[in-house]
Amino acid sequence: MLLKNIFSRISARIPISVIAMIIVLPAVAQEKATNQVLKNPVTISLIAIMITLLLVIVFLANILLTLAKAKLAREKKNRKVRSLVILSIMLLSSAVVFGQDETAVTASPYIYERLSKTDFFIMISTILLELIIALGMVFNIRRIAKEERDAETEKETKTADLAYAATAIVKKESDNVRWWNRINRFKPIEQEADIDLGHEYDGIRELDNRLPPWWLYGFYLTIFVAVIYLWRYHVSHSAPSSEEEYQMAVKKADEEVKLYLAKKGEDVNENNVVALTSADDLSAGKAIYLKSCAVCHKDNGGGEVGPNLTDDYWLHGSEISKMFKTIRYGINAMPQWQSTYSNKQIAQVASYIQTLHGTNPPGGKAPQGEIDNAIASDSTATVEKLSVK
Amino acid sequence: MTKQNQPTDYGHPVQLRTEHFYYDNSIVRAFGMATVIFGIVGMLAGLWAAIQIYYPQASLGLAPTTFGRMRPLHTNAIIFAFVGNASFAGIYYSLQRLCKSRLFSDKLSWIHFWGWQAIIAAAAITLLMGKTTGKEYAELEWPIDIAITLVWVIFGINMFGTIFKRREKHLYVAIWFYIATWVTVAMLHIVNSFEIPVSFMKSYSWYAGVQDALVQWWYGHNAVAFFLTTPVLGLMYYYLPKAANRPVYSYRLSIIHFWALIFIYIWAGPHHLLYTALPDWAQSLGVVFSVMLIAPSWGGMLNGLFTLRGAWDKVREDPVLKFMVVAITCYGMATFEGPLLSLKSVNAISHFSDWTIAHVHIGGLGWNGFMAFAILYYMVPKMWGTSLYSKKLATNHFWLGTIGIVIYAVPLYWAGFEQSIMWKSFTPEGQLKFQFLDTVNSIKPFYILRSIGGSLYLVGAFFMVYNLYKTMKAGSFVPNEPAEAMPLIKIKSEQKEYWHRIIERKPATLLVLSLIVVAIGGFIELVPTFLIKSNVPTITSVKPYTPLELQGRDIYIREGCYTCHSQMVRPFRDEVARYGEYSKAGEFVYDHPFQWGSKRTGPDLAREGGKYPDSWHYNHMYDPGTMSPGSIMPAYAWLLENRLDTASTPAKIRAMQKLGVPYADGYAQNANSDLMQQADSITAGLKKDKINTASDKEIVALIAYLQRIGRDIKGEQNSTAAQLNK
Repeated sequence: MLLKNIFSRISARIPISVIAMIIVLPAVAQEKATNQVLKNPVTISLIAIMITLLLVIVFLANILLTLAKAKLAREKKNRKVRSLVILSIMLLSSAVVFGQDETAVTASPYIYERLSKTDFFIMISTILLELIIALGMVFNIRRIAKEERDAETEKETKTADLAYAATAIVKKESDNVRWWNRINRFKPIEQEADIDLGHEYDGIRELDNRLPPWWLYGFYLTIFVAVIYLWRYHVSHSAPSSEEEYQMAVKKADEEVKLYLAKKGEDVNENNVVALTSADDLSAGKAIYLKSCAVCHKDNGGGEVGPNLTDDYWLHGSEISKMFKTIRYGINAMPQWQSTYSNKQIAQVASYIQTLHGTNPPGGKAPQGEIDNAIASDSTATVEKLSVK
Repeated sequence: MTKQNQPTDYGHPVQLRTEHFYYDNSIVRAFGMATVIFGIVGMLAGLWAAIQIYYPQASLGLAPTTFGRMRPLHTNAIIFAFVGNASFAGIYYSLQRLCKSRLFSDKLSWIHFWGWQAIIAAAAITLLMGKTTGKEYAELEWPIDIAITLVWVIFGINMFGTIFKRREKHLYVAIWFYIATWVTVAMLHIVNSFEIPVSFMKSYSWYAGVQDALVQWWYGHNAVAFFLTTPVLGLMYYYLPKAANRPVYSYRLSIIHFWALIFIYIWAGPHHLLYTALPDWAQSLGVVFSVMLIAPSWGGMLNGLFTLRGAWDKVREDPVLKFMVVAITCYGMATFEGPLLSLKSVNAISHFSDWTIAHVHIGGLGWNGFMAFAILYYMVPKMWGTSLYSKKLATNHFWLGTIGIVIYAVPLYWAGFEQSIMWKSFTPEGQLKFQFLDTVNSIKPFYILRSIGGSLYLVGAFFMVYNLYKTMKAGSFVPNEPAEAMPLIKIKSEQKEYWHRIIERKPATLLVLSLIVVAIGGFIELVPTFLIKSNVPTITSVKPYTPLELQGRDIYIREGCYTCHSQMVRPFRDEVARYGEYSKAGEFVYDHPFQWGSKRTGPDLAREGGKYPDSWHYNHMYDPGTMSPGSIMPAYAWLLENRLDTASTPAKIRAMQKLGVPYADGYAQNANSDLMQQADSITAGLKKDKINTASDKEIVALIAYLQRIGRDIKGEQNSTAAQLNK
């Protein structure tokens, strides 16, 4: 009951304070927009801490007030409580005072490029004070809550038959156990006899405990979620189908890649590719070749599953642009590599392959395709040798 | 004491005499023994398969012991032999006591027992021989399917016979779960096993492609639900209150979670097919019913754990309760994780990865394994009239098992997540960051850790064997346990009963209601997928397989390739970049059975056709390491030697024709000449690459199939086609 009360109160008030903060913040920010202090990360984080603490204090004050009021309503005679309420109201008002202070500080007219010492210490002491207030409130909340609970359990146990023994047991239970019992709506084990259904199967009895409320409401929630889900995907179509999701992802990725390449200035393609000659490029090309090409074309380019890359005969052309295209898109049994390697890398590996020409490795595969006269002149000997074999 | 006041319950003082009878413990002992034996066998098979994943040579180079055949053996042994026998033992023990009656017929009990063990033996032999339908957890071929149906009916008659001759007016919640289990498993098994026999031990699924996938996962998901969950929940409802000596926490929670569970579970199957070619509406149903399943599943967990209120001190002492608590907790974790994995965004990461394997083993090792251990530890001392030989040893078993589960699952979760993220990684230039093999190599250490976890769990099981053996030695078995109860007399109660109590008095009504409740979900999901054409849009370029490809496909199924390779490119940027155009429903209309797979230990093969030369495949099958250095795929050297069985071709073509595959009339006779022609052209091509092979080898057929997969649709994509023809 009590907790429910508190939460309903808080849920009613929290939005108001949050809205208040949201309204206040931009005002502060605007005022400070022209100066440098707010750009200082230390200032920003300190202000953030102050605001958070302020929120915490408002939250705690809400709980404390609700608790105190509930207690007052129940036990009007108790003076101790009244003093507590007074105390808490005092603390709350002090919080408000400091809250104003804080805004005063951030709005202080003393502006330096860097944070001044005075500002810094004022902010730090504000935070400290806020902390003390918050701690004080937590302490009071715990005290009142404990008294409330004790009173409640006393009442409960009075009605129970086993008053004395039970009080002893119940009092031993920790806060966690209490919370656990409440959230599951447990009935004390001592009162089990009241809910025994009298069913009995091979000695197994059955109790008539209520459904744990969180379980039941969780169940309702999942059903609600299910309805919303189906509605969004199949009635209002406000959620994307698998295919739409795919189109969106590809479009976004394409844009990102385009942007990246434009920034980097790398736009090699089959129309403008030239053979690379630097040692770095060729060794990078070699590494790729050994990793991905060698299984079919052999380490030395002699060919096995794939054709010989060292002779004068080419199936799809030996020019760098044609080779680039073959590697990039693949042809027949040659796989495409555009999704594995960037165009730069493809240019590197194609350049490396060109260096293999004429190396005439032992055990090379027989020529396939047409002779390429442009490069054949300097290696007629190789071809003859191969054909003799 | 139990029923001394029964006569007055009904307001009629009737003269009743206590009846004396005997509980049959022998049948429980038999099923219990089988549980232990097949548990060990199944776990060993699992460990062996797990080691092969990082050390493929452990397959010994033999066809029967290669991963693709060991994995179905492991899953079938664990599900149907280990958990199946444990459930039967637990059900037969508890059913007699809850009904206050001996089992209906001793003869039926023993037919059930030996029938089931014969099925297991037949399953083990045929699976290792490669006789498989290629549908996960339903791999057994048609004669065994029929045997399962018969034995299941015998089990049903025996169970209902016992229930009908009970001396207890109402059925306890455990029995509701047993009844729902029986009726639903019967329905699932029969519908999913529709297949057309080609020969003894070879059949084709009645359904094709998308429909086959939907039926299969409707079955597969609910095999988990109604073979691994509901019977075990029933067992929990008997053994937990007995072991803890506490009343069941909430009767009304039992009612609500029972009906909600069996109703909702059946719908959730399509969550195994998210982002596939299954129609979106069916996927969405799978998602939402999975989400709604959290509460009913947790209802069982809560009713179990809350029953222990006031008995937690006993958990500290009693190994039986220890096992049960961890089992129920694992059940709760797995049934919470399941719905999370059913969310599309999570599934996009988890599916096809080891995440799923880890999830399943929380359920398998934790929930099923530990519950089986718990009831064995409970029943054996009771039936041998003694106490457990060593509580300390049982506690050690408990800790070994628990630590084993953690060491098994945590590395696999990590591996699954890491690999999946690697699959999805792109370089800023827009290329895939990792090749498939890179991702495999990065998770190998986790595979090793997983097998260590599994070994610990297995060692624990050996502890149990010894402990139970010593317990049996110390006591003396009571084959027929004397019991007594008042007979049940049909007198109309004058008191007004709670509505559900009325159902609890009527087993036939309960059976029919359960069937109706579980039939609804399947009906609504399956029927439209079959009847409404728009669910599987036709693609005209998709043609039936050639005879050689069909034979190759059967080799693919025989070797269990689907256990490691999927054939389903999901519409994700990374998958389209890695494998090719994403899969469409119309591509699979001639796939009896579908081969989408559920795990990518190796890469997807849906667009494999034309990716590599024939010679690449030839070398790769002989020794995968030569074509993909570091590969963990086992060698399939026997495919290069085995002769293709062309005698079966006409029968296979005829069977396909019966299933509606449009081969020309009388094609069955000419099929083999087409087959040889295609085979010759492949061998001629191989010869050019210095590979000499005869055309009648199995490898040729497999290459033909692999080169065909996913190519038909390319005919419709001009850009790709143009490139191919250049």
